[in-house]
Amino acid sequence: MMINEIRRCLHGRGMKLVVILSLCLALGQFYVQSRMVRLHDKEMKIAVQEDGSYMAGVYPMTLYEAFIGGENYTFFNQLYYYILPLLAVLPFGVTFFTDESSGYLKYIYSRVKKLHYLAAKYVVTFVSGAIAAGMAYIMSFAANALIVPVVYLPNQMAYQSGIIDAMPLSEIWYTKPWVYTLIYWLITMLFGGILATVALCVSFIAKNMLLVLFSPFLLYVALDYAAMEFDLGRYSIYRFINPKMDIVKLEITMPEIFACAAVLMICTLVIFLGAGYKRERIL
Amino acid sequence: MDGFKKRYRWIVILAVLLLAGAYMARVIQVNQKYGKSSTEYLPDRAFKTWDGLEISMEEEKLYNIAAFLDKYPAAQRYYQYAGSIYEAYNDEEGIRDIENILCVEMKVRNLTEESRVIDPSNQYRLYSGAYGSGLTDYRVFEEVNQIGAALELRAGAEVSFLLCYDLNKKSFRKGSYEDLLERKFSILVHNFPDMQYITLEHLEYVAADEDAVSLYEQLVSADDSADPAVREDTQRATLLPLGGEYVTGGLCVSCDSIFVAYDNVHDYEGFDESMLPAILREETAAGQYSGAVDEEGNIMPMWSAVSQAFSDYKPSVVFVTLNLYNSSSRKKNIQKIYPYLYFYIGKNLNDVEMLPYTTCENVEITKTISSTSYEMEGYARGKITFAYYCVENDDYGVNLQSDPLWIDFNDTSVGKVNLKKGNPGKGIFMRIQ
Repeated sequence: MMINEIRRCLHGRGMKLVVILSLCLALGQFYVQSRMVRLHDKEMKIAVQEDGSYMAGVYPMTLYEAFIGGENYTFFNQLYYYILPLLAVLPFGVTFFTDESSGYLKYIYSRVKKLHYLAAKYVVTFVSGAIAAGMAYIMSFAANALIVPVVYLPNQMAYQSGIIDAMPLSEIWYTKPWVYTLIYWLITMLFGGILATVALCVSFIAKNMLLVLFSPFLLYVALDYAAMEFDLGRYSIYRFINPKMDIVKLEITMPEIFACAAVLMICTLVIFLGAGYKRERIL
Repeated sequence: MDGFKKRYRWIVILAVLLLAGAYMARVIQVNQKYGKSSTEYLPDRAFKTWDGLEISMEEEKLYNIAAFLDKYPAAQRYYQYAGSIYEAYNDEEGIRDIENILCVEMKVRNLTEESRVIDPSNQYRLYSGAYGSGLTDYRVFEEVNQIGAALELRAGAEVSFLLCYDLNKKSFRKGSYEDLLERKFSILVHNFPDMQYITLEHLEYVAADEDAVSLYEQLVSADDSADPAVREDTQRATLLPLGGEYVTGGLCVSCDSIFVAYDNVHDYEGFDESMLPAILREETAAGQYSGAVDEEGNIMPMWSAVSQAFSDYKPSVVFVTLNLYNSSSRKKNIQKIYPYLYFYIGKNLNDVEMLPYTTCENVEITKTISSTSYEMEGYARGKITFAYYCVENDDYGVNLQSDPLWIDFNDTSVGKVNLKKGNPGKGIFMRIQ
């Protein structure tokens, strides 16, 4: 069952669309960043020429701050993290709804155990959502490697980000920035996967595919607004998965981030397996 | 067909390998261009030489702030609540976040045969793991050392000075601020690409006695109640009429004058030529435009980031001068007086932009590397002028010279507002025309 679902996911139009969208995001950010790099190099030359050495230090740009997940000043970073749930749900998030609506589900249930199918559906949706969410991140990193060096800069003056000691993983950022970048890639993928599974849960109550498709995005935005309104901005997924969303990071900790992920994952798993097992359609 | 498919597959594989090879070559080339950087951590007691300067650390102390202010009374005025930026924003807790100050006595000798200039306030930054900090206020450096912030050393000369670093607990990871001596502090003395740090291996803690703590408490106290001259603050949801007065924390603000310049900012008699560079039209790297005037002071069409075009409406610069009076006996920081301009139905639309133009009379302006402070002495009177870049939107029939204008003293959301109908929402507005 799992192999069948994986095959459906990989050959589906959703995955192809995600690849194209991720490529557009990565290349758009690459284009903007290439202009920033040229400007930065020009400013560096001027600063060095003016008096031979720049007192505060003249530092090149580093790849860890040049790609879509490493900076927070381009439109593409904001767009990427804003539409993340849409990217995550595209490959496989609506297939449970379409399977049910088309009657295909009855055929499946006649051939395999319900629980096996539901578990396979959940796992593949989660994994496809994770891959879709993390695609633009890695594509952008690879693209920017063509123009920005991987420079190790062990102090704050060198960076744009303003990551300070009080923020989670700050020590790692200054000693092993590749580990920091990798951890946030995994966090982005984790929440991408979880958001994709939200669509599965909504499938039981939705009558329209668009509602299923947009439900993770609506939840994502609603959570952000609610969190900001009640002064709990640190728990907004939109804010803490962005590696450079600095202000919020003064309050959130890594265990809290993973606790949020665990709670959401358990909720979606229990709802999907529970509701899916007990009945085919709630409404 | 099978043969074609096989060949096609090989072509694809070859193309992918070539692309991968080209990609790796480019990545290697980009990284080689910047060369290798090095980082060296050096002990603090031995004499070191970089670029002709011999640097050594004489003394390293971590002071409790009360102990520091007790030892260096000249620095007290920079750590008191009255007149500080904390008072400007009613942040009584914020001023107490600096509980410790790290001080290092550094000796620098010029081994070359030419004069060398050093700037401790810019050059010698403190680092500890992910924590980094420049020197505290350069004025503290000058007061404590009784020398200027930038020093010129003649050939063979040496100088000793005390470097002071504020350690704000909000910048440190939870739990580590209580155990600062366990952290490894170092000072950067040579920059990229050959970075060299001196490690502070002999840091000692200096605690404060009771008298020092008592003095410190007086300095950071926000209690103004003993000052009978202080007037009551203007409450929120207030619409002040023409000639009205806004009061906040003892500072009284009223409108002195307004001038609308349509063609050139020099039409305004009080225009400060030194502020012209701050409001010059510039094109940014992202293809946007900032600034309001050209080099002659002619007012340029306003750029709209929304429509990505210059506005057709008539541009203008409105200069608003406010009278200031400090009704208390203590010095006041006036930085929270930062009003926005409102017109017609009380909406601060994209048609108004506050320019980085501020001129003052009888206000002490002090610029540091990271900030500028504006302070008024007790019972002093002064003026402050702001400039707003506006367009007269024909769709709404706006006329800046004759329409009612208001300024808004809020720092938070005002909710629904209709100033013409007398509804200030949750804000504090003052009519100025």
